[in-house]
Amino acid sequence: MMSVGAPRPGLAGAAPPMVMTAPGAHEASELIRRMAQGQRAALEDLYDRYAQLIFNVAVRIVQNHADAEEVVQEVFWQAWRQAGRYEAARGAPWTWLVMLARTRAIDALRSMSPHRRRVEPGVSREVADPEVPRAETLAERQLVTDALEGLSTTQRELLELAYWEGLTQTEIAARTGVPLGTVKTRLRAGMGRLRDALLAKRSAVP
Amino acid sequence: MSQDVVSHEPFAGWAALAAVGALDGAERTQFETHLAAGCRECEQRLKEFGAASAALAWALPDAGLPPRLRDRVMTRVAAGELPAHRPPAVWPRPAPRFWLRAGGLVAAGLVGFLAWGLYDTRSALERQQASIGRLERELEGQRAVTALVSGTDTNAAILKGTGAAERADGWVAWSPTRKRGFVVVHNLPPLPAGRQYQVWVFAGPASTPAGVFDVDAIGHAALVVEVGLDHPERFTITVEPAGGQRTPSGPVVMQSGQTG
Repeated sequence: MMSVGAPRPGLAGAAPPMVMTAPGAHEASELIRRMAQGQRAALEDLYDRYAQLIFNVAVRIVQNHADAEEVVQEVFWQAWRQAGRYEAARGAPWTWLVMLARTRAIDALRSMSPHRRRVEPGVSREVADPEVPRAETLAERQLVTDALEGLSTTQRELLELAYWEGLTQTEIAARTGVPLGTVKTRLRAGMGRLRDALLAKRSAVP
Repeated sequence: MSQDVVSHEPFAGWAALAAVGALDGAERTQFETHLAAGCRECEQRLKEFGAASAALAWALPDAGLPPRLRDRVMTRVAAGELPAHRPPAVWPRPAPRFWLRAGGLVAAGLVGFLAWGLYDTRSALERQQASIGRLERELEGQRAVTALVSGTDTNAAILKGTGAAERADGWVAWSPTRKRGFVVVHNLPPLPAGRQYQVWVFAGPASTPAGVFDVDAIGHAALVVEVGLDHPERFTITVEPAGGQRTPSGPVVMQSGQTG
């Protein structure tokens, strides 16, 4: 689970109509352009840049390393195959990859019968002993963690149920016992705060 | 369809729910239809909320990425084809007006407005189609069985276990005019690899093979069999090499009484 602090209201403000990008997005977009030309070295660079992020997503959803590895392979294979269709205007490369990974992982999770699901206890909370994270990773992690502090615990939990567990609003209401209307309201409010906080923080980056 | 005829108001706030995958059922369809009708405001909101929800990934702790995974990815790519310039499966071009005019492409257009929408929906459709196909096959089978067991000329007989399968029981129903039957067995022990059960139809000394089958983990099986003799007198089930034999060669594990 994400490590976040106490709610800090007041971050939700008027959001400029813009798409959030992150440092390095331009370089990564260039990698995808080169991938579309068949340059495998560009895929290697993209992998080195985002494989850890994609693996984290996969592990968070499928809860075991073996299936998460399959998801990572599928995501980069798909990125390689469809690099020519990537459009930078629609979002940063990492956004694209995360969405592919989430969809793949949730599909994998749903395709498993309950007894086949290999949940490794604590797997989503483990901390690897990797190389020093990239500067981009550290900066993004700090930025998102700070932004999440503007959400209430309930809002964060509902967002996680939807985004990482793949539950719809009806399923969330059924699981939590919270009325459907309240689930919608809290999800909307949580997403609004998260978006506004990220936009504000990114626009503040020199 | 221009933006000014698309009413955004009823859908205010839906983009946030769509971005985290929380919309379900009719609401999701309504929102996708609304997007495809050309609501630029919702498109922009969905883009923003999509990026915000994906950013949650940055807050996840690092799991232990196996170093060997990089080689596996690159090996697969090296063994595969070059990037394909096919119709998009993700990041489709935003052409809702074209989609709306494009008849058969409307469905893809509605869900293809944004990458996650298309991919999620495509996966769901594939699952649903697989499920529908399975149900259709089951229904077809059930119709065949219903026709078999409800015919005016249908006969039935009890099957009893013998020897090592004395706990087994079951029944067979068959139609002389359809030349087909339906066999149900219970409590037959699963066989080792390379062996299968085979159903036989006897009339006097003559016998014909009717079908081979395996049982599930609890010894159950149900199958449609061919009844190649005009006046079957009895049915037996034997253990045979996988794929079956032309004449019985293995031990009899189930048999019916005289049916004629």
